[in-house]
Order: sequence, then C-alpha cells, then structure tokens
Amino acid sequence: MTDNGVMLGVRGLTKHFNISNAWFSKPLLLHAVDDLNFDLRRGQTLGVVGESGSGKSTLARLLLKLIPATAGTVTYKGRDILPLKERQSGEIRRDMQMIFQDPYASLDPRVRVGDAIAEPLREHRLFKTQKEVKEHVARMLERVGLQREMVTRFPHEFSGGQHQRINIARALAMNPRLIICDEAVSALDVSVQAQVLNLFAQLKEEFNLTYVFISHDLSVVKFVSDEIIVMYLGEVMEHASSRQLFERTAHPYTRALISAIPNPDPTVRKQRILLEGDIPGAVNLPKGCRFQSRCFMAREDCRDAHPELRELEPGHFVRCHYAQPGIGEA
Amino acid sequence: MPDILRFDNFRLDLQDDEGRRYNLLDDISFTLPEGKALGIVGESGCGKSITSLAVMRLLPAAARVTGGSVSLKGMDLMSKTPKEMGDIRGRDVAMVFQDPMTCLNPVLTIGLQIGEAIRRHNPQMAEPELKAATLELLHKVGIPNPEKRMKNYPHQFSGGMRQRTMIAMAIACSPALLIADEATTALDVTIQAQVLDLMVRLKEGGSLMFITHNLGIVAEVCDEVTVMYAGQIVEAGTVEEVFLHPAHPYTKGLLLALPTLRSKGNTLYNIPGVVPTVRNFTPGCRYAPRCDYKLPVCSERKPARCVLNDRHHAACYLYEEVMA
Amino acid sequence: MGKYLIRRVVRGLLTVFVSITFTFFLLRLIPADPVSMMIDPKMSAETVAKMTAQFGLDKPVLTQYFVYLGQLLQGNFGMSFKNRDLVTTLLLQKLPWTLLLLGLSVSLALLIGIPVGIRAAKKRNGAFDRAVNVVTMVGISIFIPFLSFSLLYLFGYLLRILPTGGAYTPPPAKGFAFTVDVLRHAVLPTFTLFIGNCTSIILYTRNSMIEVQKEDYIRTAYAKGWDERYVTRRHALKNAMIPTITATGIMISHLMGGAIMTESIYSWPGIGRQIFDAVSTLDYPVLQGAFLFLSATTVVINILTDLVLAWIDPRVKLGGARA
Repeated sequence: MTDNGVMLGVRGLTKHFNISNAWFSKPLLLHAVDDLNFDLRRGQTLGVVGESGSGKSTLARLLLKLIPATAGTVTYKGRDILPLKERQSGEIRRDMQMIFQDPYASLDPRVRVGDAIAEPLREHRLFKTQKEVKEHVARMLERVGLQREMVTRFPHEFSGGQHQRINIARALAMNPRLIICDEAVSALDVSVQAQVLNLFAQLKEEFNLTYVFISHDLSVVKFVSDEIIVMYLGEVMEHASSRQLFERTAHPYTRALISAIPNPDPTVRKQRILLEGDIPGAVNLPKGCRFQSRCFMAREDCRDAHPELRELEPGHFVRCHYAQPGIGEA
Repeated sequence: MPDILRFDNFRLDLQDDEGRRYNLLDDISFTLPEGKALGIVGESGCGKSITSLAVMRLLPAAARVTGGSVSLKGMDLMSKTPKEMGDIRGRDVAMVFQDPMTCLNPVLTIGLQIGEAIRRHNPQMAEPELKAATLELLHKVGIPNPEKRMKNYPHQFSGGMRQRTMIAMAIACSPALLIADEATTALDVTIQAQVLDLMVRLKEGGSLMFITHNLGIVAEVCDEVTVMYAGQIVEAGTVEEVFLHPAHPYTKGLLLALPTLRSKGNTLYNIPGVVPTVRNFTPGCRYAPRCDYKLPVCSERKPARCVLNDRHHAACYLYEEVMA
Repeated sequence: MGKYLIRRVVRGLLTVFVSITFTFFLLRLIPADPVSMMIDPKMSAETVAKMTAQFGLDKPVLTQYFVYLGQLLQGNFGMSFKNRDLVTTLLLQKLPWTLLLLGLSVSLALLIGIPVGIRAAKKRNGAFDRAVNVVTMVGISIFIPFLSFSLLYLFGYLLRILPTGGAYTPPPAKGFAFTVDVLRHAVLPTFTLFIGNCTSIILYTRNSMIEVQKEDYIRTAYAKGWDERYVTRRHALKNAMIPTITATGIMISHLMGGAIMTESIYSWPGIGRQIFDAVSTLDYPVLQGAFLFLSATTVVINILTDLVLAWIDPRVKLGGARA
C-alpha cells in the first residue's frame, strides 16, 4: 500500500443543514460538522466524543455516505469515496460496516436472525452456495458468543445485549476492514456493556479491525481508543492520542468534560469544573471561539478571534488561544 | 438519628394480562436516616424504580403489594387512603423523574406547572403571592430571566432547564424526602454535573434518595448505598465501605465491569449472561446463575443478610461464617 | 401568521384547481352523455345536435375545459343542464339545509361523544367502558341504509310520529310552527348521521384519553399531590382533545359531501341530495359546481382545524413541523 497504512483519511469534511422551513426565506444554517480532518491507520481505534449538537452522529452518517457532505473529502485506502456512485462503491460498502445505538431498532422484527445476517452476504454474492452462506452465518453467531442454533429465531427472542451481538455478527460477516460504532454500547447495562466492549477488543486483535468509535461517554471512549477527537458544536476542540488527551489535557472543554464524569472511587473528591449555561445550538454561531460562552478561561479576544486548530506538541492538536498541556489541573 | 424512610420486608408482585403473578421485590428492607443521601443502584430490571414509586404510592397498575411495610416519617404509607396520600405527595415526599422531555405537560406553561405544585399544599395562597413564590423557585434552581421564562412552554426549554423545572416543582413545598429517579441520565455530561450540583446544594436539611445505574453518581453524591439485583438487596452500607470493600460478587463485578478513566489494560471484568426479566427469576439468590462463586445452596435458599460491620452488610453465603 | 395564511390559501387554491380538473375529466370519461339521458329516443337527430351544441358539448373536451376555466375566473359556475338554473343559485339554496343537518349532528356528537369517551377511558375495561365498547361496535358496523329504512319504517310508518321525508310539510308554515316542523323532519336524518359521528368521537376521545393517562406528565401531576379529578381536567383533557379535533375536522369535510346517502333516503333537500340527482342525469355543471364547493370547504376546514390545533398546542408552529 502506498498510503503508509492510512485506512481512512478525512479532509475538510463539512456538513451544514439548512433548517429554515419557509419557502423563499434565506437559509438558516446548522453547522453540524465543520472542517474536520483526521487520518486513521489500519488497526487503530479513533474515538469521537462530544455532547448533544457536537456533530458526532452526523460524522458517522457522513462517513457511511448516508447523507451527502457539504464540502471535503473522505478517502478510503487512498480513494475518494464521496463522489462514488452506489454501483461503484460495492467493495467499500462491504469493507465499512456500522453498528448503531439502538440495538432494537436496527433489526427487522419479522426477519429471522440468520436471514438478517445472511441478507447482505447474498446481496454482495460473497459465497457461491447457500450452504456456505449458512455455515458462515453460524460461525459468526458463535464468534460473537451466541449459539448457531439461534439462526431460526426472531429478534424479539433476544435481550438488548444479544441484539447488539447480532448486529456485530451481521457487520462482521461481511469481513469488514473498518467498523463505525455510533453509541454502540450506550443503551446497554454495565455488565452487558463490558461484554460487548471486550468483544470489540478481541475482534480487533483477531481480524485486525479498524474502528471509529463514537460515544458521549468519555470513559468508554478512553477504554477503546488509541486516538481521540473531542468535538463541540461541530468543531474539533482537541485531537490527541488517548494518553496525551488524559495526561496532558490542553483544552478547557476537555478538562471540564473529564471533570464532569462522576467517579466511582469515593476516595477521589476532586474539584469539579462546572460549566455555566446550556449547550447552545449550532446556528447563529459566534464570531470567535464556539466554546467561549461557557468557557471558564474565556478572555476578551476569545469572543472576536476564531481559534484555529494548532499542533501544541507532536500529534496533539487543540483549538484554543490559551491552551497548554495540563490546563486547569487542580 | 431518626429514620425518615423505612422499608420492612416489602414484597411486591407484578401481574401480567393473563393474571399470572411474578415476584419482583423480594423482602426489601432498608432505612434512610434523616438528612442523609441514599443511593439505590442496580442495572435495568432490578426493581429500583418501582421501589421509589412505592414511596410515592404511584405504582403501575400491574403491581401488587403482597407484604411488608413502607414508612415515611413514621407513617405507614400502605395503609393511607388515596386522599391522605395526596396530602403526603409533594408535601412530605417529592420526586424528580428520569425523562425531563416527557415529564412536563407540553400544553401548559412552566409557571403554571410550578405554581400548581405550590398551590396544592397552600390553597390559601393568593395569586400575587403564588407568582412571587414561583419566581423565587425558578431563581433558586438557576433559571435565568424567570419573569419571562415562567410564561414559556416546556418545548422552549432545553433538557437541563426542564430538569431544573422538575426540581423546582419537587422542592416547592420543601419536602422532607426528595427522590431522584435516574434524574440526570438523559442529560449531557456537563449538564448532568450542573444538575447534580444543584440537587446537592438544595438538599439543605432534607434527605435524598438517588435511584441510578451510575455508580459514579452514587460515589460522589451519596452517603449510603443499597445495591439491588433482580428485586433483591444484595449489599448495603456506607458508600466508602461498599465501594472500597465490595463484598457481594455482583457489586464487585459491577465495579470491575465499569470502564473508568483509570481503567488499565484492554479487558474489562466480564459478568457472564444477562440480567433476567421478572419472568425468569430463579429461586434462591437471583444472582447465582451469573455468579463466579456460586455454591450449591445458592439456588435453593435465599442467603440471609450478613452483617460485615456496623456500616456494611451483604446477602451472600460467602459471608455466612462471618455471622456464625 | 399572515404569511402562513397566505401560503395555506395559495396551496388550498392549488388543491381546488387539481380537484376540479379531475372532476371535469372524470365526468367526461363516463360512457354516457347527458343529452341522451334527458331526451326520449323519438327525438330527431337534429334536435339532439342542437341541444348538444347548446350545452357546448360538441366542442373538443380540451376546449370545453378552457371555456369552463374561463367562466370560473369570471365567477360563473355555469347553468344546470336539467332546469337551466344557475349552479350558484342552486347550491346556495341547498347549502342551509346541509348546514342545518351537519350542525345538529356534529354538535350532538361532540356534546355526547366527548363526555362518554372520557368516562369510558377513566375506568378502562370497567362496566361502563365495556357497554360503550358494545355500542360503538354496533355504531361502526351498522349499514346506514338499513338503519335509515328501519327508522323510517318504525317512526314514519308503524308509529306515525315522524314525517318520512323532505325538510318541511308544504306549504311551509310561518314562524315558530315552521321551526318545529323542520326540526321534526330533521330528527331521523340527524340521528342517522349522529350515530356514525358520535361513535368515532367516542372512540377518538376514549383512546386518546387512555394514551394520555399513560404519559409521564400525568404521573408528575399526581406526584404533586393532586387528585384524579384535577389531573383529568387540568392535564389530560387538553392533550386528549388534540386527536379529537383533527377527527372532527375530517368528519365535517366528509359530511359536506358524504351525506349523499342519508339526504337521498330522507329526501332532505341538501347538497348531498343535489349531487345524487345530478349524477343520475349527468348534469355536468351542477356536479362540477358541487365538487368545487366541496373541495373548497375541505380546504377551509383543514386550515381552521390547524389554527385551532395551534391555539391549543403550543408546540405546533404554524408553518409545519412541531417544535
């Protein structure tokens, strides 16, 4: 491969929604994702974390071409995939699979589990005979910790965690290279969430998978990711290796996010940074920094000058005029 | 210290449409000392929400109380008439529910909905007084611009502001006990932090009961904790005791299964299997089918409550010898 | 608000235009022609041709269509083939009778249906609810002509206490006696329409009350200490009325033209009856006029329904989506 192992390259990816519903009035733009850039290498996991309105779910839908981008490119193994027609993107649609949040909504209640997993296999003609398809489906079910006899069952016979396993089996059956998880464990109970997270980790080793892992839960993202992007109102606030992000936190928003997570260790009574006010909507954005309305460090010029993403130290990017590693540390 | 709330061997069944009954709450006993914050933790289906609804006597139609008692400030709640219960709700005990999006009436203004919470227990209050009290509450829960905001409808509020409104309604008559049922679960992390902070600040002399699946919230907000699994209490004690020296295999598993900012390595502790539904509860200790330390006796007889020390007890055969 | 109304009216006009175009061409697709229906076979071919030309039916269909549109723009709805009356005059004569029937049956249906629906929802599967269930099942499944003829037979023929048809006894009486006479004539057709409408109002109200009672905000209201009476009145009713209002709007639009059967059976001189007569003689101008009138009222009622809904439900933003 000529592209030094970069699986997924994203450049200037932007999505604006026009949310004005009048016929002839001027467009009202919602900045869902603005100028996003990253390179994801084979076998790595990129975590994307953010709160409501951060644009993290829009990102997932952009990568899978479920919605058209306003601007920017997405390259898969060096090839720009956004302009590709449905017909030309067969291989890519096979290679990139998605696992959604709601385990219940993503399976058709009237389709047997075996058929749900087999359907994309048949569509892409990955196997010559029906027997091979059946055998593959059964193997995948076993691989995610279910029994091969379960192929004939209907989705309602399974629990939430099992649903998510079936979704994983369906994604895995296509022999994908890249899996995009959008809040894939958020609806699960703690004990089941741990099982699914462990399964993700094992599969990553076994199949040399690459993940984009999107979640609102920073603890989960930290657990699975090699590299993390923190988004706020459509923009990357901080982008660093998992280690740098937590040990050398630079952006005040990241700092506040980390400090807001309730810690189950009662001996740690940390000083919490409470952000003021609500998360604003991503329309009518301020001229300066998008976070300044809630920032505990905001100064005069944050209101006027829009900060660019800058490399603070090698591989550690931050969008803040005053960021420095270890900021706001108690 | 007197107990504000006391559950004694409280038992509750759920009845399905065909009339079959399933036991959900199995001899629930715990106390909440006055002025303290108690956390009730567990995964979905463990019966923690229905336990809190029992205090309000707002149980779903399928619920059947089959034994035991719940007492609030010494009053036996299960023997109250509906009218007496109406006088207790909102005045002695109030509740903040999970989903702030659906818990406010979409066609009534915020001001009216807070106002009626005050008016129910202060019927003599005149209109100007009521308005002043409503404004005062909105101000107290940190809603900016209350004069204008009280004329808004819920859909004009963000999730965090709606939950603040719910809190304003709950504290309207300064109840002795405030119950929060997954009150911050639907909120963003930074908003959750604000709302938790607000509840702790408003608690003042009152008592709090926090129903949550989030162990972190319990550790940060509560003094005591009760861990439930499938309708049984498996462990209870002070937060320090239970979180630092968990005794029951379920509590241990839960703490290990949770990814935290401090988790090391790339594997979490695996509790095998899934949380059973009420139809699939097993006899004996209901956690036994998933337990790594299971003994033959576990599936036969429910373990008794074993006192580990004066601030900590667990229901598990592993600690029977401690009692003996 | 003003902008919204303009948009709705423009869209409504478009709807009406599409509907009259459909009516126009559909009528001409019927494999029979109006002239042959009103003449006897002995008439000479010459007379037939003359009549056809007089009605403008000798021109190509498209030309007829544009002539019709041109007339409409001048406010001319055409002239009845049958008795040479202006269509406008004809419809305006019939309109009050239709409105009387509609007003009586709809207001009775609302007056009785809403409280019954609420009461039934209060104790779901209780004795009252089960009785209501049986009655509404019958109300839904009953065949209107069967019901009408049974009523006519019973009250008009056997008991002879109510008139069997028409809207008044000719010659029309004066003053109060006339009112009483009309009301007596209206009893059976009103009741016939009332059955169907009241049934649907009961069902809509009952079902939405049951749904609303499951809402979290109802539990919130109980948690404040309020009793069932207050919670129902203050919190449930307004929300539960939203689907009922939508249903009422649809019901009224249907009734404007949907009373064809009832009006015909009871010889009630309303618009429905007029449509029935015009169909049997293929009176194109009357039919076109009547359907134009019906589509216009449907548009107006839709707009009115939406305005009422927006007034009750603050989430409904005029202009479309819920906030």
